[in-house]
Amino acid sequence: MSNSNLEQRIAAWLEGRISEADSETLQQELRDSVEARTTFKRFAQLDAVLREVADTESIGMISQASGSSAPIQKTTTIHYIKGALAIAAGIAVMLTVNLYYQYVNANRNIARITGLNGTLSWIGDGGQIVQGDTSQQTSTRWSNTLSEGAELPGGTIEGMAPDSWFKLKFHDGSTGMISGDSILTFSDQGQKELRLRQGRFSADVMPQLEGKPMLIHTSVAVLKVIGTQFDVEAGPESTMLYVREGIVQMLRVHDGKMVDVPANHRVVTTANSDMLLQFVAPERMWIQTPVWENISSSGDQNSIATQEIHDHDGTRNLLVSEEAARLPAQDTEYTIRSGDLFEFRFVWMAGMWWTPQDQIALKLFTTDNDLISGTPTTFATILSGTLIDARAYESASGSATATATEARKRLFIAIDTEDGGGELNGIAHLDNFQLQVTHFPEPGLPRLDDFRLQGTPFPDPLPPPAAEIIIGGNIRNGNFNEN
Amino acid sequence: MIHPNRSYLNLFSPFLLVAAIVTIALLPFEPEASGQAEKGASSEDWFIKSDKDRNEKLQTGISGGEKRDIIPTLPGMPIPQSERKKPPSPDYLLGKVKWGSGAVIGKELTEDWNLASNDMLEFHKLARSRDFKYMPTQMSLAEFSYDPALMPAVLLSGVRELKFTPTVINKLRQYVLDGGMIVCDSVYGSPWFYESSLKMFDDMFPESRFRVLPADHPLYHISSDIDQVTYRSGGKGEKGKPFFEGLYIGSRIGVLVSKYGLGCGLSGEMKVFDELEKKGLKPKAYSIHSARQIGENLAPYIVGYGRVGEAEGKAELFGGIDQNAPTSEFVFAQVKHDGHWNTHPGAARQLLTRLENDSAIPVNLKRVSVDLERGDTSAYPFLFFTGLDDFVLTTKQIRTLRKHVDQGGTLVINNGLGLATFHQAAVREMRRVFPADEFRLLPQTHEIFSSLHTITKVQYTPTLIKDQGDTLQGRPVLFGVKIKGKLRVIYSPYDLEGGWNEVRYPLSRGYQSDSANKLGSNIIMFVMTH
Repeated sequence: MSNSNLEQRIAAWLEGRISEADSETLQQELRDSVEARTTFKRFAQLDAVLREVADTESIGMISQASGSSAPIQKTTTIHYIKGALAIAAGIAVMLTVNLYYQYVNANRNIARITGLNGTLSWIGDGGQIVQGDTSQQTSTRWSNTLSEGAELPGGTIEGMAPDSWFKLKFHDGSTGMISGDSILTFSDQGQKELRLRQGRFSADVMPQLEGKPMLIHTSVAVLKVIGTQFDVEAGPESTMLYVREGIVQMLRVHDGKMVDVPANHRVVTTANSDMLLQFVAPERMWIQTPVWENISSSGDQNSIATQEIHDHDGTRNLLVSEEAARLPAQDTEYTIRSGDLFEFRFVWMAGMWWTPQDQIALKLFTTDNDLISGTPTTFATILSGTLIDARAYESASGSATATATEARKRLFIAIDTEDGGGELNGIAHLDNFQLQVTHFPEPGLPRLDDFRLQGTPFPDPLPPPAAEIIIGGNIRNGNFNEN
Repeated sequence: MIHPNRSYLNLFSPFLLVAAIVTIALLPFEPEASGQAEKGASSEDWFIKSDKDRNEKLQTGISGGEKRDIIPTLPGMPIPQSERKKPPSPDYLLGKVKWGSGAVIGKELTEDWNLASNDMLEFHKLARSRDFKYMPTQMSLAEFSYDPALMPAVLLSGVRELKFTPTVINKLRQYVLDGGMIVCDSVYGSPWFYESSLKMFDDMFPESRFRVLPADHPLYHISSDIDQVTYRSGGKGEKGKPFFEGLYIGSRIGVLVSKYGLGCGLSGEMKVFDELEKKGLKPKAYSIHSARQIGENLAPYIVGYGRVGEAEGKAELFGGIDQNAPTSEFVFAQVKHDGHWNTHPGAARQLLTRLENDSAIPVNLKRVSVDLERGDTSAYPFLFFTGLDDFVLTTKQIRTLRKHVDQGGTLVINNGLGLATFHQAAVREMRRVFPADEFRLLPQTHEIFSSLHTITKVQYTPTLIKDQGDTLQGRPVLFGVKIKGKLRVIYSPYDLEGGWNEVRYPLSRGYQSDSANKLGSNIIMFVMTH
């Protein structure tokens, strides 16, 4: 194996023009040789940095390059003034054309902003930093404001807050979005190349030109995308890839280990992970979710109700949203008795755009006709409290007592949200929901529930009231605990 | 009459053997294909005779004759004065039926009905040890009298499919309705015999259906408590709950089916299991100990509930289904549900007759059955709901019952025989019907205990006295629910209805006849006046 051949193969892979045979050879080399892996890592990092620099400081780089080339031209000995002048004029014209060409090329827009929210920071135009948010934006070289519809030539976008998000659309129709505290650098010099330094990036990539796949670099991996839908989450030491459609090739930088991730699978890559494929069941809509329904004003039962990605325990979780178009609720079929104590608990985790001040709000309500479609009267709203760690599931619990007012009526529950951050798009994930009731009867004559057919008919003292699960485990949970 | 001790001798003498070979028709048997390897390709795979045999002789049949009172009093129970005068002349308790075809395998005649040839001897020895002095016998159906008074129960055992002619089926049905009991024993646990017996008797009794006997059924406790048994499957033993299915006629089991071998367990004839297992079959039977425990309980059950069968087997006049009630008469409307709902045939009529004599209430003696699925019970202010086992109400039935009480009707629920299974089902299902209302014990000062008779103390059945007598202190136990301030639902966890019939129900938790009749009359009077 010669170094030059290895380097050629690495360069071809990075540029997306590697042949199948060379790709296999490269993989073998990476598996067999520490030296090859070191070379690959060096090239990949260099490639990413070069592309990033080219995107963000292209004008300056080009200007500097052009400026440094001028004295060389000027060192040419002029023996004949006319000729020299002619040559100089010719060079000046060529230089001008070259500069103009590079200037135009550097300013070629590659994507358009299709949506944004929250505080964002854009780095481009030779290092110019532009910050803005949904309501107040600053003009950029390429557009008057960092706003929807603005064209961008590539650069780095950074979400500065949990509720920040940024959607862009490449000119070939591929779309991508970052959310929360994420940093993404993107470019398209005939081949899309992105670097996700941290955070979440979701993309729907149109089929790319042969030999020029989209490349996404993270701290630990390089993803090669031909045309597919996927989500990436990058941290300092790990990268999670979830593929919804198509296939994405994932290569771990430090050892060159490579896996093809097909649809409905995910892989978590760290320095030591085995990079095993994990099946992730498809998302389910409300109409596919037993018991629960979307009772928001939209009443849209075809939106996503549960998913397995971002799971708590390997099973589905319920998507809770601040949006007015989503409100999970169910008819518990339980008839309330005076003195009922309702207790609930669940685990939950922040999702996209969920701010630290937002909370889950569990609402217990009755209706005027005992149907979930009836006019509701909420008799208890219990808040979850805020999350301590937005990236981990936390437990929440609470209770409420029914009075004679609610007695003999059907119990309904809704899992709503309580906004604390001012935005209304936050999403949270909820799992292992349990609602139980304990009935505390009024004193009086012995109850049938306490009577024993054998042994002592009326135990004294009576055993403490027992809790009865209304929702939980496999009871009315809407298959949350399944895959 | 052949003396039982002598009858044990000379069983299957060469003469009888030859005669049997000549007389038994060797009918061809068409095997039925089965996809289950454990079941075998046909029932013929199971047709193996055990080596173990006894050279003892049974009485070989009885004919019709003078009806005799053959049911003695249960051990430990006081004998009523009227019964002491009856001559204790029992002959037969359980007769083994010769049915189906045999075959000569090797040099030996093998008969399906007699694969466990010693089961009857062992059963009767066990019965005798408990003072039930009956004689074993076997008879063909042509010889059988079909009279429960002469033969309270018959045993059908085998491994092949049970098949009878329509004439025999009709006679067997009438025999059961008259108070007789049929015990089906799937020798070696043959699925062919088991499934065919369930099907045949299901077809024979379309008005009833087989139910798995609950753990507190009298059959499992009448002599000794059988909470757990040991099964033998080949050389292995496994513990489990006893599994019998019964087809109820009134409160008694008219047809009892043992899915697993009982007779071969009784006689310890399980060596044949090795041969069956070599064929890939899965024979299963009760261990010797468990089979004998069951046998010990079966004898008193047949005896005790034979008398119940006599009483409940009397023809009862039913009103037309859901016929409109005459406006001025009290109509005893009984709810049909998916459990066994007709638990004490004839009991309501006994109560109504007594009520007619004791009060001025105009009473219609015809009991009416009510189907809650029809939705309208307005013709019947009084609904009676009883059962023996588990039941589940449909949404429509729940709505109908709610509507019934909301419109001022009364629902009276009775736990037939006072069994735990029905009690649990009643508590559960009534929670569904009345989810926000609580059943509370009716105080002894409640008007219902003085509406006709003044009831301060009641008499319980022996089993209830044994269980809870001290703590109950003679008080009637009725629970009630008030709807719109009025008592509209009454539940008796102890059997009221059995007491209306003048017969003892062994192991029933309920009230003695006098107390049951007074409580029943008071309830009806209360309903009629509120």
